[in-house]
Amino acid sequence: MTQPLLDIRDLKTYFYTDDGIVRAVDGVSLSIVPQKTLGVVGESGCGKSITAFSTMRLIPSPPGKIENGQILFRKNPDSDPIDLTQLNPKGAQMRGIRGNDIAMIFQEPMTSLSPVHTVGNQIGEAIRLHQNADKTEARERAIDALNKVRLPRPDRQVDAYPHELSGGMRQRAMIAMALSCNPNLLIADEPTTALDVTVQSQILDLMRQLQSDIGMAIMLITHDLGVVASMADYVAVMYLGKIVEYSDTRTIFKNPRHPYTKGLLNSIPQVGHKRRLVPIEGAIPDPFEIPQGCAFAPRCPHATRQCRETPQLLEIESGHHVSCWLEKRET
Amino acid sequence: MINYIIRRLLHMIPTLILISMVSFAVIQAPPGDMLTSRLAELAEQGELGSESAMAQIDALRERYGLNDPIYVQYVRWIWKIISKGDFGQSFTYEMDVMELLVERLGLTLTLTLSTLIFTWIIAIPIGIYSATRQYSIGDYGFTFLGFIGLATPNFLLALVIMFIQVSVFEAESVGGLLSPEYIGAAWSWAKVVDLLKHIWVPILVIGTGSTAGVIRIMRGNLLDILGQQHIQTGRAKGLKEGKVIVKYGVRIAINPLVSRLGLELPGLLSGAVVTGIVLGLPTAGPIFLTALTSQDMYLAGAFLLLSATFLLVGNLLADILLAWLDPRIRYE
Repeated sequence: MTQPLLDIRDLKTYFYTDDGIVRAVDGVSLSIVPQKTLGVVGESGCGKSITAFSTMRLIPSPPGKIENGQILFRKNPDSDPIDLTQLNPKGAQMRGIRGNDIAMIFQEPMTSLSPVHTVGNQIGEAIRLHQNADKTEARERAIDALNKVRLPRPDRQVDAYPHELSGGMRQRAMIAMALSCNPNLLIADEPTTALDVTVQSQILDLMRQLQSDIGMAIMLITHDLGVVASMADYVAVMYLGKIVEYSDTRTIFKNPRHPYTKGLLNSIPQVGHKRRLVPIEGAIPDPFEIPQGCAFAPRCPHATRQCRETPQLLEIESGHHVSCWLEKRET
Repeated sequence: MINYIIRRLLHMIPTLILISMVSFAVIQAPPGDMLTSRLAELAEQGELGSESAMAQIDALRERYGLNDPIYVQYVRWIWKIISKGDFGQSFTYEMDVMELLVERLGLTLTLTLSTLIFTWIIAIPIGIYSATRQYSIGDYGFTFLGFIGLATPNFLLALVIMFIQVSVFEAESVGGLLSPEYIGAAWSWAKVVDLLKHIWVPILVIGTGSTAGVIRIMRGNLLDILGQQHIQTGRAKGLKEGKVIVKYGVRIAINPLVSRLGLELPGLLSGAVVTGIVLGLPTAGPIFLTALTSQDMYLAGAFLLLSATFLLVGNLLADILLAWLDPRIRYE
């Protein structure tokens, strides 16, 4: 098996607020293989984005802090992994990785570009920063990058300001910026959530194509299982800061084992099937009062007394990890 | 853009005409005219009622056309301004209004522009510091100092500084903008140095109040901007934190301050009257007050008209500057 590109081990990121400690990420382990896509799914507030921001070392501190764990990243397949948690988040080494080896795109294309700088300036900046290019060369490469994301008339759009572009075009420009330095890993935080459905599928197509061109891995954070089904090779399902199920995409959709994953799948509509959607009962608990033991137990139809103890994430079959007492009982 | 500027300039003409009418009417509104005070003067000398005094007053009335209806006076006044740039005579100072105002306006602009620069140089870095270290001891410290500056009346601060100058440093000349020997003298290096020695007091006095305001605005704006997504984008690119804050934060947070500039320009002319009086500054503010109390109508009229023009031009300049700074604002 190939060495993982990114290997997160038992990551804990806590926020120390005046109202108490929020355990936003509470013992997450996952790994991403080169050139593959990992989908991270879960409801809002489950810690998906915090996991991504921890990897980028962009957690605002205070109040946030990485309390435990390792984030091992390999710049290339043969090199020794670097533990990103040990780097100074503002230091030169971390800044050299950000934008160059690991790039990130965000949910809101409307606000994720600076309104007072041209698109070309913002893309060229990353190229000049990481690739020792001068101004003219950076501009040329920015036009190249815009061309790659199939923005119409890139030689003119390079001088456009973000407000002159539509949402889909801005997200294309963001992708162009993220990919301008050929990163090994792209973290996409809900990249299509704010876009129209037709534009969504264009952007996803584009990401898939660029992935095979550049050969990067993608960490795709989304709450949209449809997006995961079409994009991801592997899926990690998160609930309240923990991974509850982890497997390849096919297994997750065909043979979900965790009650939460089953609930998520039951609550999406399917074309051609006029069946009642089954929502997951209840709501996500207050982040300050996470229940003891299995955090999903209060909403789980199968909960038993045993669920007051925390279940471990166990490999129930090759590559399929589930953290639920139901599995223990069956085996 | 050129079209826009031309259109704005054309719009200013009816506005100015209206303002000139209103100013003229306002000056005429109180009972009596500028000769009333002269009459009072004559009365003190016990000459009231005497033939010669009445004849003198009547002659003056005739000379200044004060017996004509108000609209005739207005047209005559405005026509002289437009055709010859002649703002008329100051009755109190018995000299040309323009002559009287020119040097004072120069000094006023010097003083107020220096104050503005002083305010920005002090306030913007503090605002940035406060925003990037929100709720730190430094942030609270500057906020506290800022509010003290805001709450201290300018005239009080002026008096305190003059007192310290005299009692502690035994300064020979306090207040004013120049030592007595340079007043009226031709401009020379020594005069400039003397000006610099005096001007810091009014700059400090006038500046302390507005510094606090600018700090608060800068801090608030920058905090707003720093919470926005594109700041995260800049960091995710691998930029240094300082560069992120300056290029993507401050660059945008400064825009509202620029639009505020337009409103501050007329204040540059008429503002700080109280400070001007307390410190005995040869600026425009104090004589404006004199002009109003003595109903020196041409002087006051010229003053109001100039302030209004400054306000309009200032706003236009600020709008142009803002359009240049912020591409989202387009004047097509």
